[in-house]
Amino acid sequence: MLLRKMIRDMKKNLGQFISIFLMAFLASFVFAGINAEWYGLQTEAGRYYKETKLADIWLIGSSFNRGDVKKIMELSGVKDVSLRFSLDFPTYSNKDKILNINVIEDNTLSLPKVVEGSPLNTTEDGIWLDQSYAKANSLEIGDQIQVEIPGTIFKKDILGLILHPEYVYSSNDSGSFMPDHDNYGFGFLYASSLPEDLSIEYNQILMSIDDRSNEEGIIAIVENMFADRFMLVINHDSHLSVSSFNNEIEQNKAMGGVFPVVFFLIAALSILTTMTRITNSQRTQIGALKALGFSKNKILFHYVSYGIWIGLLGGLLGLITGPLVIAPILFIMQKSIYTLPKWSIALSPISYIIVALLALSCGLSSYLACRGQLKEVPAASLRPKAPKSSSHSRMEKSKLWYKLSFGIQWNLRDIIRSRIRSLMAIVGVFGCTALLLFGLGLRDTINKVSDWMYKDLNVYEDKINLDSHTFKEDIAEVANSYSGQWIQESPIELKSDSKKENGFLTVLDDGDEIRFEDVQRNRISIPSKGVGISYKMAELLDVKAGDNIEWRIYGQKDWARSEISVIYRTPMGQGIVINKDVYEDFGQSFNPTSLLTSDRIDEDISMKAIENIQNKNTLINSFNELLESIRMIVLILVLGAILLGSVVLYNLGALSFTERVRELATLKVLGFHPKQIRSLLSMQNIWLTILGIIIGVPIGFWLVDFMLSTMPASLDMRIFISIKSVIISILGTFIVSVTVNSLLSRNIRKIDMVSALKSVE
Amino acid sequence: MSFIRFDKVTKDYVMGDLIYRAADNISFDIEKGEFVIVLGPSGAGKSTLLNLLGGLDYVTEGSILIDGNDITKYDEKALTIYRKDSIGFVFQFYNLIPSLTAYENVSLIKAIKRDTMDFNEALSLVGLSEHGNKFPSQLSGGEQQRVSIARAICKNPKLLLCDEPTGALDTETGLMVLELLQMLSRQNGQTVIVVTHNAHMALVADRVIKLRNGKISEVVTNQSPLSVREVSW
Ligand SMILES: Nc1ncnc2c1ncn2[C@@H]1O[C@H](COP(=O)(O)OP(=O)(O)OP(=O)(O)O)[C@@H](O)[C@H]1O
Ligand SMILES: [Mg+2]
Repeated sequence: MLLRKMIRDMKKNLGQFISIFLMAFLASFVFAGINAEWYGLQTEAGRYYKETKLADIWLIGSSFNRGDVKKIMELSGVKDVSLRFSLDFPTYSNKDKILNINVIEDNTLSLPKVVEGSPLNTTEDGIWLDQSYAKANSLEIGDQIQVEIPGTIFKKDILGLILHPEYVYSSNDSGSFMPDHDNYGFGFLYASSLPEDLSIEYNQILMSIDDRSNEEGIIAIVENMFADRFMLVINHDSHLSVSSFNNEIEQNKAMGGVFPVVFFLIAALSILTTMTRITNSQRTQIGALKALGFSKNKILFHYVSYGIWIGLLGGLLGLITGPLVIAPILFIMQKSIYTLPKWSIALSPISYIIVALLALSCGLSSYLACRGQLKEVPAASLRPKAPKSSSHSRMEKSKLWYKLSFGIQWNLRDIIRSRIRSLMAIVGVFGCTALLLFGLGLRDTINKVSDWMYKDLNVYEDKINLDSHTFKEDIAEVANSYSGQWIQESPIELKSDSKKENGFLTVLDDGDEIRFEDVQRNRISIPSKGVGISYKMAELLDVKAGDNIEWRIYGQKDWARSEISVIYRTPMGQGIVINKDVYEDFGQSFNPTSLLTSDRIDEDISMKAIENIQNKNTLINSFNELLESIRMIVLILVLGAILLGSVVLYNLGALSFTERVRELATLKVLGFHPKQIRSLLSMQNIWLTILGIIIGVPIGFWLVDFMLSTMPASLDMRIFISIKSVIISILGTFIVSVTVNSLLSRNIRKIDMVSALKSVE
Repeated sequence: MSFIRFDKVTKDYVMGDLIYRAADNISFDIEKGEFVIVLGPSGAGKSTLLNLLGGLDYVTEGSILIDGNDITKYDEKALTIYRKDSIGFVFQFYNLIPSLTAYENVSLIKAIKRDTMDFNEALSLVGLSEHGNKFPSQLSGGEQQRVSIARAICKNPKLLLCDEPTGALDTETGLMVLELLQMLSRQNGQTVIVVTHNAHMALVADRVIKLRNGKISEVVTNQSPLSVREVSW
């Protein structure tokens, strides 16, 4: 019987229950959607890493041999060790295209996953090629490609197409974070298939260990073991692909936690107001139920179940649909950056817990709403509820209060009287503004980074990258043909008193092709003393101008110590910058790696020293691809914002309307014109909207900032939100608010004065 | 011509296929400044009549002339103006705005009308000058009803319409309210029409309109009406 009563009550308050349902649905829809996405990635990556036996530790050095492997194998806690030769080479056919050639023997660690063609086999003669690279270059199994290894060039058949766990995120360039499969790929071949006369030196040792918690100890032992050799140790945290992908997952995790909170809050608050109203209007019914012999707890449980049902139904629907809708949309964007064998969604247990929490908190809200009602003495419920004592606040005793118009007095008191309702309206509005601003701000910020990076800082047109094995004469050939600024870029390790980081060193020769800006984005130059450090790197190392840092190029033994003369800000490639003269004062020789030039260069140029030529437009284009995928997210956010704003405001407006219908009818009888009544109603709406917007704008900024703080360490994006976006967010919120209001105030005309005033409810 | 003229007024309520005739061919006149009592059993059509007169509802047939103007020809906008300028309404359930004080409930009229009575004067006229700062929930029923009368008269309406103003009050308080209404009519020359169930009140009115089943059963004019106090003794 009570169940039927509940359904009838819900039908009667359909609008309100639908909006509560929608909010509960949206909360779990967004949460479960994002959860399924990152948890799916995590699960899939875990499976992939396990299947391909991804190494835990990489030693990068030179002349590793079987003896070394044996020595490491004997260490306790080490599970498996493999040798590998791995180096980037330009493909013979096209200097711009680079292939990372890997030579292995009967390795067991970090094996490629063959997706097409013959399975890995030590006796096969040929190469297994990166599937993405093959696709981008229309290469097929059976085709022959040319491979270059120092000393020889030979041809190999493509045996199969592969994926590799170390190339989930595949980039060879600090200046771009979109992978460029067209120009960068990898290939694997067995040592047995190399030309007889070629002997290669293994430059990598791959290790897997029993327990990741022993990692530090093992690394220390290994570093000690090879103390006499130049070697770089990499683990999952410092591996470009593994750490970038982990970062991505962390970022989505963070995003998935923030947004549903607003919907969650609204759902719980809506239940509170709606249930208060329902139980309020059912005082006599409650009395009747009591008289029929229903216990207080049973009645209480009856009303609490409204909340639980709604929360549960909305939550479950979101749980089912969120992963099916949101995850694939996010995948679209990620597929352009990451390469995984399989993209699948998976719900973590947290999602189920959230739905349970949702239902519980909706139940709790209804409990709070009815508890007071059941306590009330029957006599008290006959009179209209007295306004709370605060109604005569100090504000109202002042002279000013009497000068206020009736409408202002009425609306102010109404806001004070129904605090929860007003609070909800404000939450709904600021949620709307904040989401709009977040979406647009994210787009602005990324747009701006492109301009900042490629227009303001890197003013050159082309970057000519030099082969690392060239002779001075070959470089001279380049120098004679093109003019520009020579730079040397090297990966380095950095150390402050307390922290250690990896980054890039840029040594500058004379020229003005690459520019620097301070934190406030004023142009600065790098002084001829000390080093400049990037803002993000300075933060990571916890140092400021005037402090000393130590750094060394990968593979070198001695640390150099320098004073920080200036801090510059750059979005990509964090590290230090030093002038050539200062660099040479350290006893280092300047080995240019690139020539930056404003000349337009023919892409097909072929010179011995040139490894490849990067045109700025290519980089800008790959950036725009990222923007394209951001657009999808912006769209979702904008739709969510509009839905949130309109559902909340409509629900509250309808609630306030039914609560005040008697007052509105009275005003009509007194001779208020519908237009006047409408403006009275919209006054409150506008106040709350303005208040919500005032709160929403900084929250929107904060959301963008928060999002940026979860970006990988190598990126330093500055929040940038254009005035236009701020205005659009504010206007958009207003439009939602005004539209909802005008929809609602249509009903004013329909108020039937006679029946509205007939009796006391 | 009379101040108010009901001319063959009929009001049908349509409920699906059923038509209920709540006012059936009603005609009567009322002169300016009269204190009129409408009597009749429940469901006779008293409220219907008052609502039509007050411009809250539309007639099905007939015309209602106020000062020579036929309000049945008015559209919604004109009716709103008519209610604003000419009518003061008092209901059984006071219909005050709970979130406004007594004074604010009266003074809200200034939002629609300029030539109003002074609001404090209106409150003291109904004997509530001390209670202006109280909220409706802090006032007794009779006091609330008097606030709603103050709100109605401060508009300086041509016509004060009261639908069972004493219905929710005890006898003594009800009498006080009726006395107040009679006083307004006698001293200020206000035309007042009161619906009541108290048949004794026929004696205090200048004119008594008796209704039954939507029809007029009798209209009595009283040459020497008594005062409310005299009747209640
Ligand atoms: N909106 C409506 N729809 C249908 N019938 C109605 C409507 N309003 C009133 N009636 C009917 O019209 C008749 C007259 O109603 P009215 O409210 O005028 O009676 P009344 O004389 O004021 O009674 P009471 O003394 O009980 O207030 C009643 O029988 C009522 O049922
Ligand atoms: Mg009636």
